[in-house]
Amino acid sequence: MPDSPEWMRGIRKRFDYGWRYDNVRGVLPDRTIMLDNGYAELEREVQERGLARLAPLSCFQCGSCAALCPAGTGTTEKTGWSVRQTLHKMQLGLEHSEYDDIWLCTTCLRCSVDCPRGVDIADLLANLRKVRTALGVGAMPASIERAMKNIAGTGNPFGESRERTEWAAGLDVPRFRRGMELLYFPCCFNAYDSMAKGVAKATVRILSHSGVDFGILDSQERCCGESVRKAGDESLFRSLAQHNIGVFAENGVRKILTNSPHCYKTFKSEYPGLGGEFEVIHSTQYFAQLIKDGRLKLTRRLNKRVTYHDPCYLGRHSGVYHEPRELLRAIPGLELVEMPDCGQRSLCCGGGGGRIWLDTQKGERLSDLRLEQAARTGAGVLATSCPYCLINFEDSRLTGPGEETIVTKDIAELLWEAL
Amino acid sequence: MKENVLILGGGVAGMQTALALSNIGIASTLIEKEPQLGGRVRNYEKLFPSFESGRRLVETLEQQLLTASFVDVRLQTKVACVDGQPAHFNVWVENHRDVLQANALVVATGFEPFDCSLQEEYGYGIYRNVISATELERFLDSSGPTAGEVRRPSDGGIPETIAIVFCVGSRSDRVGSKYCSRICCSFSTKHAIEIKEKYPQAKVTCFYIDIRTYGRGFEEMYRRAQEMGVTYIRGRVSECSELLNGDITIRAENTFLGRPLQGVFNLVSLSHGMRPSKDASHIAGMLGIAVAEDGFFQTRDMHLYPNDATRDGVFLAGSATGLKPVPDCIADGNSVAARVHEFLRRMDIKGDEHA
Repeated sequence: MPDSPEWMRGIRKRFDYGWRYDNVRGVLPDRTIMLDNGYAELEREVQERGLARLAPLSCFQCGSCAALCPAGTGTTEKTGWSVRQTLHKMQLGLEHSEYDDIWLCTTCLRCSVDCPRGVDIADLLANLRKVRTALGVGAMPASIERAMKNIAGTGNPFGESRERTEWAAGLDVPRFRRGMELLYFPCCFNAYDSMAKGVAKATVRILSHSGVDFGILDSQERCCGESVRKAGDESLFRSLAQHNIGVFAENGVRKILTNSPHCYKTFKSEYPGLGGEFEVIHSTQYFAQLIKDGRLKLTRRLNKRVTYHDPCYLGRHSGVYHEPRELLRAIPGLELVEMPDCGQRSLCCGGGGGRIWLDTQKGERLSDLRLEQAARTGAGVLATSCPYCLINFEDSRLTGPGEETIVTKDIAELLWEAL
Repeated sequence: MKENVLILGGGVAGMQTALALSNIGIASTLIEKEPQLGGRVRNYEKLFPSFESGRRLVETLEQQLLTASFVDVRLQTKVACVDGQPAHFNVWVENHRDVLQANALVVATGFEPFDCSLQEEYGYGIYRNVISATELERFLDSSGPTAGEVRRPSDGGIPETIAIVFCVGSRSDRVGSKYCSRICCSFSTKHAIEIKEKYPQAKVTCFYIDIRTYGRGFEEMYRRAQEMGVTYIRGRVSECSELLNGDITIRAENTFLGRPLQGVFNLVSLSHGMRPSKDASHIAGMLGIAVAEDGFFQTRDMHLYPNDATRDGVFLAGSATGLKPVPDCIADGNSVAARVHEFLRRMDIKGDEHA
């Protein structure tokens, strides 16, 4: 009978059921994913090129990552982004096609906070970009490409001259010499960007004021390369890192201080793999120690209500949450208030993963949302400790409708005001 | 009068029941229709989640039975007829003249694998390289027909790409059974790990509806499979078809991506569910106990009396009441011994003084 398994088996024995799959594309649009069991070959290729393993093996598709991914909730209709789906595609080995805009990811790591299987998702996505670059698949957005070319050319993403110390003009900053305790390494943004330069200036003033034995290197330094690696240009990253490691070693650098959590993370976690073992400290950690040691005394009152934004690369990536708050609480007269989505759950400003060089459309800027969250606490100042955050939030304020008056400042700037 | 308990079924549940009874001084007759004890576990190369040998487990139980004082094992024996009443049953055994006296009866008759040819769209029995989990288990048995190698039926070669299809014949209104067979997600994951251990370069893909690796150590086993590179795709397989070279094309919805997926595999293993044993209703009739809607034996109360049948003096152990993993079968054996002991005391049946 036509509904019995026996009858159906009889039919099945007589025909090639696969014919329909092959010929449907002539009749209907077909969205079928073709599972390429040659995934093992791709893995081999990945290994041969020394790239990290691609698939997030222990992901079980629960989706905890996707619902709070900042990039997953604020995109245009045309581009869909689901970190969960992207991870599954990586599991299936679909590297060569089928990736919705992977450039939407800022590597903020919000996804990994609650991941039950402990997958380092941002790391994997960076690897995905790296693999695609290495295999010549998928284009890098034009403005990121430009930044890469500039970095390769003159050691900074802006295409400015190699001379990195113009920000220090008139400040009498010592040049680093062998035997000094500390090398101060300003991020490219701290060195060249008009807004972020203020942070570098404040930092060296605080260091000098506190009698710290430090110095800066000059045009020998290049960009730390953190976002180069995230953008997928592994060979450029390695050449930058190896160059910097060589320069540091030649000059006898042992300890590096930086304002940028991105530089911090890359020096601390990525340079050792290429032979560069240095002690790395973020400015907030160092300043907090100076205050504890009594070398830095804050005497001027700042009667401000301040809220603090945990930068992704300082908080989630590096686990530094307390020192920035200690510093703010140490400023006389300063009232520190917290905002929602703080600490481990901090909402990304949108600058990581190379996106600092992308022009994000108004209406899709995470920093707009974050700034509003900050303003709702009633604070007049949004404090942070990352150059990308600083630039993004101030940009949001200046391009906003004019209602937000909350000003963003780096903690170093606030400390300098309180000296 | 010498007390005696009749146990139908010499699988691990029945064996443990006999041992547990013997340990508290109660005699039993263990009846098994096959020529050896151990039921299905005897031929499992590995048990989940420990990956210890099923055969060795059965041999351990057999050793204990040999030295147990009060167990009478009868192989290649089936029950023909039972009459009498609780605490005084008469049991006629096929091909034997004697009538056994039993004060209590224990049903430990296990289960039956689902017949995969009923799910015709997978091509079991039509496409050469579609096998069942039972057959895969035989391949994996180092003392089995292929000495532990997994081979493609079409050409005897070792497959490089293998698909494991979950939920065949379970959780289905249309075919098989409505219930979940409970252990298939776990044994399928075990199979995936066994294959990867033997053939590290093999690509193993599992197609599932849910992952129900619920027991102690089972989630960890699932994670281990994933970390060995087994791919899990959520989507019940819709159809298989065969290519000229014997490879099988699988078509399934990839619910993670919301799109259909198609993949070609050298070998497909259908992880089928389990049905009640073929003799279940016949035995139920013989013993005057009820069978539930799902075909397994009805327990007196789901929560409080999970080892009592619906008639006084009759008890149930092992997968006869629904699929369960080995530790649960052993626990059933121990529970039944306690229930039997309580029953015999309540009925004032005392054994002779056993020296």
